[in-house]
Amino acid sequence: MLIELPEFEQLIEYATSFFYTKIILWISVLYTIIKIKKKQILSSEFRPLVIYLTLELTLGLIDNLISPNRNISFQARLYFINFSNITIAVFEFNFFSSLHNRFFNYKKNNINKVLFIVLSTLSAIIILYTSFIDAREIFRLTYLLGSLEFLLIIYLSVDYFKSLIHEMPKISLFEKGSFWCFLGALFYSSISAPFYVVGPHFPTGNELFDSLLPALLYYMPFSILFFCLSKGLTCKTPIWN
Amino acid sequence: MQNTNLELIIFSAVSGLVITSTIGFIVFVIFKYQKSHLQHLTEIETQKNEFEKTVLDVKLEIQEQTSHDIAREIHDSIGHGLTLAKLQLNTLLELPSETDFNKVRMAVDLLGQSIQQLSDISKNLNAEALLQQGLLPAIDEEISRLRTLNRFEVQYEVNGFTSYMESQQEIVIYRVIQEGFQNILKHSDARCAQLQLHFHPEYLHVSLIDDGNGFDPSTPKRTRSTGLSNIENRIRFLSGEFQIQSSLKKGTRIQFTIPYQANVKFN
Repeated sequence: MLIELPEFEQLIEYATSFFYTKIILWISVLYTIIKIKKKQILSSEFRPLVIYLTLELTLGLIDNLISPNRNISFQARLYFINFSNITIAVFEFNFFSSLHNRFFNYKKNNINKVLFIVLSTLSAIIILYTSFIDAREIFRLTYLLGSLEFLLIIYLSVDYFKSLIHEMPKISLFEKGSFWCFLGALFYSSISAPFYVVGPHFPTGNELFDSLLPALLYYMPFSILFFCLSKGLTCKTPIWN
Repeated sequence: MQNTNLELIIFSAVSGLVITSTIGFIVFVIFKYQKSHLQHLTEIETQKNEFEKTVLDVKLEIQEQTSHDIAREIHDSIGHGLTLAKLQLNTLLELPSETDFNKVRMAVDLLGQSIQQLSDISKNLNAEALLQQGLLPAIDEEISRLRTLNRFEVQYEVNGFTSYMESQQEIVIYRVIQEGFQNILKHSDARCAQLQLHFHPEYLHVSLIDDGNGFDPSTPKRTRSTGLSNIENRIRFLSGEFQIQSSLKKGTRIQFTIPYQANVKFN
């Protein structure tokens, strides 16, 4: 990549510049939480989803409060952004991995466990490592881990869709809870993956490019993912079926 | 700057390619899945129809067997007993008293009428025996029976060349016509009924029209007489088409078409 890496302060400004886009994202997360019924929130089957959504909402909100706060050091703010992004990525993968496991009746449990352990270990290493490196490197590593997580989610989603081709279709695809979840996952991860590759080089200086691309390639598919999840929760069959 | 633009173009192209392939893949899976789903639904529908046909087949078979058994019982037991009673009473006719003679004469006549009625019922129930001569003579007999009741005028017409039909097919057609006339007798209060049989090269078209009370066609099927649903079920069993037209005080027209090659399992 020949685009120059952004300056330290630019990064913080950039991180706080998507406030309105994030609002749409939070609304979609809230909407999904509302769609989970009372009983489901307490049930162990829905635990990965509930944890994921709660983390996404709380860390996202805290992140948005901390990032523009100039009383907190740049390094600390950046460290928190990095920490929250990585944590969410791990729990996001955990949710889709558990969904995938349940759909395949735990037949692929071991592969998913290995992938989850690899991702968690890498995340822990990166979180620890970023305490000692500078801001640009932090961003670069976060995006790297994000790309890896997206690739893993793409793998799970493609595996799910492949199984649909050979499945005996008893009900319409649009009535399957799992279809909506993996549709959202595939759409979100495959669209955001290319963006994560060039992510460390943002902001580029091109105003239109800097504002439009992340909104289109990250926040929009991310919001669509939650709307898909909420649609999956209202389907005839549970989200893992 | 030029390099930056080139990178942006490459990035946009790669992103576009990834997005297009993702959407393409999703559309392909949806299309493939929904196609199999439709196929599955069609299979279920076919199985359901076959099952319903089998149930109907068994039901009709049981009905015919029961009718046959009742007819045999009437003929062999009750009919036989009554005939013996009539013969015994005939011997009493030689008694000298005129009052007794008349009483016995009346009893013998009543017994004779009852024996005849029972014999008619027995024949009627035993469609197999009735149809030994064929469908048309059996219908002729049914028409004659209706005419003797003198409840309404019966017009009967046959067109076209008669074609070969399985005997079980003939039984079902005969029963449908019988059921139709029963409905007219019970519910229509008609003055005239008209039966038309048209033998087409590939199917038989039957219409039964009356000028009676009729009914409101918007009445839900479940609240109509069981006779009508019986007719509909029997015709469906023969893979035929059934149509009913009616309006209050303007009579009823029942029409059905039955292909000669219908696959009838009922045996």
